[in-house]
Amino acid sequence: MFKKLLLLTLFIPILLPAQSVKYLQLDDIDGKPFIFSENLDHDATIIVFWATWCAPCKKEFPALQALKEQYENKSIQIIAISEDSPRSLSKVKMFARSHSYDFKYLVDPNQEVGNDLLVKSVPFTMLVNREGEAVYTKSGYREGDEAELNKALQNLWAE
Amino acid sequence: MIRANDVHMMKRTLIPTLIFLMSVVGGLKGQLSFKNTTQYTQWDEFDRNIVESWTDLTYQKAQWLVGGRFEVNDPPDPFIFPRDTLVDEYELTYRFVQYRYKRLTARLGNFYTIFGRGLVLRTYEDRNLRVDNNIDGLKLNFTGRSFKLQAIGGKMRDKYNRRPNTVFGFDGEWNAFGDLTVGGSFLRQGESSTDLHNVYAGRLKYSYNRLDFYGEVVKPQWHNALSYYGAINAFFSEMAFTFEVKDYNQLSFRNDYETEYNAAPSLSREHSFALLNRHPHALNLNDEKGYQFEMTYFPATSTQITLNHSQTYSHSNKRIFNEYYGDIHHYFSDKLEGRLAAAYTYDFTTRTENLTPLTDLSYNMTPRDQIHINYQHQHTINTVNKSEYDSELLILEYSRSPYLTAGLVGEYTNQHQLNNIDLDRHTWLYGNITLNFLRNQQLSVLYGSRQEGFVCVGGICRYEPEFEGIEIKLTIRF
Repeated sequence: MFKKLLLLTLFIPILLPAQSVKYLQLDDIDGKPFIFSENLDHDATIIVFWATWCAPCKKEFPALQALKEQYENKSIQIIAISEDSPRSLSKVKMFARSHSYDFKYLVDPNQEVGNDLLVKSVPFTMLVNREGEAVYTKSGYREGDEAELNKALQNLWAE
Repeated sequence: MIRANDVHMMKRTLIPTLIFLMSVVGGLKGQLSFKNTTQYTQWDEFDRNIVESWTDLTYQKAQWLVGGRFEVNDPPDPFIFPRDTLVDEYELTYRFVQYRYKRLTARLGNFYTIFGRGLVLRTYEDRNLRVDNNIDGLKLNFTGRSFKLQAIGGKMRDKYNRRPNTVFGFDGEWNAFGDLTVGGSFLRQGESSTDLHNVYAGRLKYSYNRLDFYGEVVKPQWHNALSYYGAINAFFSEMAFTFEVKDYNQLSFRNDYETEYNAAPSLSREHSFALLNRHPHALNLNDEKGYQFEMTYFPATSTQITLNHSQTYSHSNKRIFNEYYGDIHHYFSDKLEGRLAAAYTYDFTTRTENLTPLTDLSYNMTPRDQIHINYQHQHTINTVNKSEYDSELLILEYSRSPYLTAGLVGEYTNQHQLNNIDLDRHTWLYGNITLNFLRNQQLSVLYGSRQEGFVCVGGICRYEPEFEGIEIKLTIRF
């Protein structure tokens, strides 16, 4: 059985996988529904899964904001999806209101969307095109990782 | 005529062929996502080698989404699965098909869900804690212009993948006007050998200028008292506050294998520093009340101050847990940032008082190279025999984005000097190297020894025993 598992591991990456967020729906921090398919009309959408207790997530936010400001002539939408459990959910709004990032904040308190997108740790960053297809994904954040995202943005716009 | 040999050959080729076909079809017609995490642990003390693996696969085609998870526990880790004969070492633990039509979503198979803030129902997976109490059944969600409805039915699993009871429930929310939303939940368990059958809840959300309020009240059928949770948020230009209260009285709603349907907010701060998780608060839904207050203040754009205080008591007013936490985070320059924090905690479960100061520094040598130093100290007093000891933890880390992180983690305690403590060891040291390649593929190797401790998320904790050996973890994701 373990051999089959290894086979599965080797086979699938060779082919043409991708992820889509088009049919997702979540609530924003005010409890209003956010339907992705109605909100993808941007030059690029960056989605970051985060949590209030996650230090690398908070380090990534200024880098994402700087990236958005670097391309003022482009419409870049940044969606921050909180994976905080109900234990820290009340702190999400507090964080959003007390920081001036130009992000759309959504909540996924039971990690349902995170699970469907196979996000098992935060931060997790996705770059999504107008069709809702992920053209770049990155798990974790270290200082300097935004350079890879910047390259992916330029590749997206060069297509 | 088909011979036994042919059948064997068909079996051998069936899975790879299906995977190949699914991948080709998936790549051309829909979206295929794949993630595999495999961990090999060689545990020196017990002469034990464990392979654990989780393979998640989803395939999306327009409004359809199908997926599954295959798990390997070879052999089952006895610290996680004490009754190892109940574990299937190779098992499909999760599979589903989902269809979305406009604002209606229907899901058949395994699912996770939450009603309100989890006081009635919360099923979730947390691999760190080895919690996976998904429900196998049917879930329907409808989102209207001013209301949301959810109906569920099925059987919830325990960690041995047993599903003894049928459960069904409803949850609804209506945005009555402006910023006022009201909602309600109901959950019923069938075939129960206990008197835990029904639970009802009502909730209210209201926003007014810079204030937000959330309140939820629960009435279990098996007990006369109400349980409740409330939260108020307030926002000002440089400051934000949150205040939460709880009263959980005989609220634990369990199936016949003692797995809880509900997981209410524990109202204690979540910490990412190791020593602050050494004496954590474990949530008891049957008997606790208390509050949590947190304030964030920005005296300057480069500085953030966080203050937190939480208290938990039993209904007989016995102190269970309390914490005072303060944290200053400052950016000295573009290259250097630092954090100074301290916490005082009292924990009734371990009968300890703990004073924990810590400091954390990060320095960016280049845009891609970073050094990180973290030092934590903890002074512990045993409240029963008044003995005292100290623990020190030091982390040195270098990272080069996006390829490499290398770290050394050392810990020392003088607890062994206490007369009544039998501790073989008082220093622990391990090295950890993580390599990222092909963007999302990650190989992590840990070698050395690690102190025992708790892994805690959301007030639910799992004991992680002392470890010495090698741990290799490979994550592949496409």
